[in-house]
Amino acid sequence: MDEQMIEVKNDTDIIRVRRIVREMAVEIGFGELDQTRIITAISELTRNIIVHASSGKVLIKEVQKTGKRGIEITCADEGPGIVDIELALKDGYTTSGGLGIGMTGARRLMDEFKVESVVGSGTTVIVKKWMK
Amino acid sequence: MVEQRSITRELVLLFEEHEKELIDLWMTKMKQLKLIKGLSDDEREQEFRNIYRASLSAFKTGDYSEVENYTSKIAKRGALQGIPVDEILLSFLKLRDVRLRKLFITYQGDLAKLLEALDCFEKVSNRIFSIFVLALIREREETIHEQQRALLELSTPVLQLRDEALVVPLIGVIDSERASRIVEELLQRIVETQASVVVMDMTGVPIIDTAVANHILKTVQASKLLGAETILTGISPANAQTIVTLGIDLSMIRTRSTLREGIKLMHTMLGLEIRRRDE
Repeated sequence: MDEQMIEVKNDTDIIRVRRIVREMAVEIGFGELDQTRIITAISELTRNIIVHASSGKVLIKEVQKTGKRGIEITCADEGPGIVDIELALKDGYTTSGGLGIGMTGARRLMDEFKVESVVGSGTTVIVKKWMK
Repeated sequence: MVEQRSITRELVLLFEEHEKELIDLWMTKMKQLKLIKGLSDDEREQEFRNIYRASLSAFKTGDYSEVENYTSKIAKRGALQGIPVDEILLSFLKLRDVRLRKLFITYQGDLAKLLEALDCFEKVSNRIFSIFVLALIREREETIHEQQRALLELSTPVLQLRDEALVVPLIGVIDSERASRIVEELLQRIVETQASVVVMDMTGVPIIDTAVANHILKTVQASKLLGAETILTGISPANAQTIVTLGIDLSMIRTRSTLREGIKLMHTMLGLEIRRRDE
């Protein structure tokens, strides 16, 4: 159970992703606050997939760095891509009518955040959280 | 190819000719195994003859639509009458066994012919089996879907606590569909009851992300337009910190840590004072 891939295409899948992320976060040993942070961040990123690309994949795995344990989650879609990543990462910027803070919020909730996007072929967001 | 077709014809003839014998044998086996006890003997015989003929039509014409229609009918009936899925599948497999044995008996002297017959028989029979399984799965999915819908309706209670106050205990995951139901139901009840205070309790909501927060904000705003103030209660400490980190601004909403504190505030807002009688 150190790597799981989930196809997402609707709200029910978000719930499934959350459950699996929670299980893995608990197994790694994250406390309640960090669990909530990780799950909330993943909730945002998974919803982004569904809202902007209608479907995609979420890969959840345990990672290690200099003796520290952590969780890495990759959210990938083949949607329209992000035209201006700088702008997309600004608080309050939205193209979907949401609050416009999901992406930046997710970045603040996690320790590492990387986004790659090619217009017309998709977006991949990789986030990590390390045990303190 | 011509040979294949002729062996198919031969099989069809064989099964047609021995229909009564094979169905009787099938029924006897089923009785021994105590399968499909729910039906009477007559019903069972009728049912079995239908299955027998539907599957034979697939052999005869290579067209599986009759089998598809029939299996989905059986799956529905099975679900309605509570016939276990394994019994339905085992019954079908029993028919296959009965026919297989007939093939072995008929072609026992000619191995080449037997193998040819088996090739033809297995192909059709396996296809029918997979159609059967798919029909049963589809029926299950339909049931699950129905239950989800039922759950959705159950899970959005709006309770009247006092003449002018409503309580909405939110439980579980709030997705868009549930959120819009909650808003709809709540606004309707506010109008019906002329409520001026709504206590919305989030104790049972595990995660508050921006989508949930957005729904809450909209609900609060809409309620306000109808003259009701909202008190939000039961946000867990972990969620509170996460909301702040996310950058969601809920400061325009009255909040209390617990439902109990929320009810107290509600009383104050309604101008009520709750005391023990002997005080």
